[in-house]
Amino acid sequence: MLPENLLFIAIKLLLIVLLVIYLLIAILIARQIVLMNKAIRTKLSGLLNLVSFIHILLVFVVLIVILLTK
Amino acid sequence: MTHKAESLHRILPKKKNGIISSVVVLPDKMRFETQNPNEKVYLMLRRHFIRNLGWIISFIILSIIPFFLSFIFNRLNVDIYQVEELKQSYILAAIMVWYLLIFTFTFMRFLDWYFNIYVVTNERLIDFDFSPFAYHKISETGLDCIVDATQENIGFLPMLFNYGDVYIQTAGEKREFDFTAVPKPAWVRDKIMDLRDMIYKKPK
Repeated sequence: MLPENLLFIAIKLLLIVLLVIYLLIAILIARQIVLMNKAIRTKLSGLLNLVSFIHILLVFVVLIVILLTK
Repeated sequence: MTHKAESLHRILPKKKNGIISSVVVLPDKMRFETQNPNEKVYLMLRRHFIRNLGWIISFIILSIIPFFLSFIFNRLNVDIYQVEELKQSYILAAIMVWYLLIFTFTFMRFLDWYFNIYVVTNERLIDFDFSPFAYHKISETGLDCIVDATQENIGFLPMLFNYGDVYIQTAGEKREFDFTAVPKPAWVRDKIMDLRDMIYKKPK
């Protein structure tokens, strides 16, 4: 039983590390979108900002779900 | 109507707007950071929408994979929720991560297309280059620096959907501007040269 548990703990830890990196990437994408919207303003600018924010939120939710998974 | 307004109407007879259009003529709501007070945007171009087909198909296929796997397991009478080592929460987490990856991939590809824009104003050409988490680069040249323009349609899809590259030779420091995979490249090349002539050549 123990090695299997260890395997799942290792996978969980790996996933958490990857999702933290993913979260940073999502923030970076949102930042890039803000910069591009500043450089060029189009009809979709507001929507893209909103989607990038939802994207960060989704990564955060998945991270929380993984953290709470037993 | 002044001579310039008349010429402009002749070159670009009607407006063409669209939120996700590849060719926007005389856009209403487009502004850019360094736009001068009297600067008017004549054309806004992106790569042809057909260039997005690859990631749209990938998105559809990747999205249905979990449903397909579920269907296969059902046909084989395997209930993965009953597998001892696989808790329901793990499966849920895996599905969430899967859809998150698909969403990010799709969103990034869309942004890559949406923010790679070529703008022609009454003063200059601007090339907005964007990569979702790598860089963004903006280059520009004055319309008066345009020496000549060349178009190129190479390949089956460009021929079929009438898109291609337009190379604009300039006298400035950046020697060439590439408008990649723009729709109707012959039309684009012609309009750019006509706009340059309208603004910088004296009326006969």
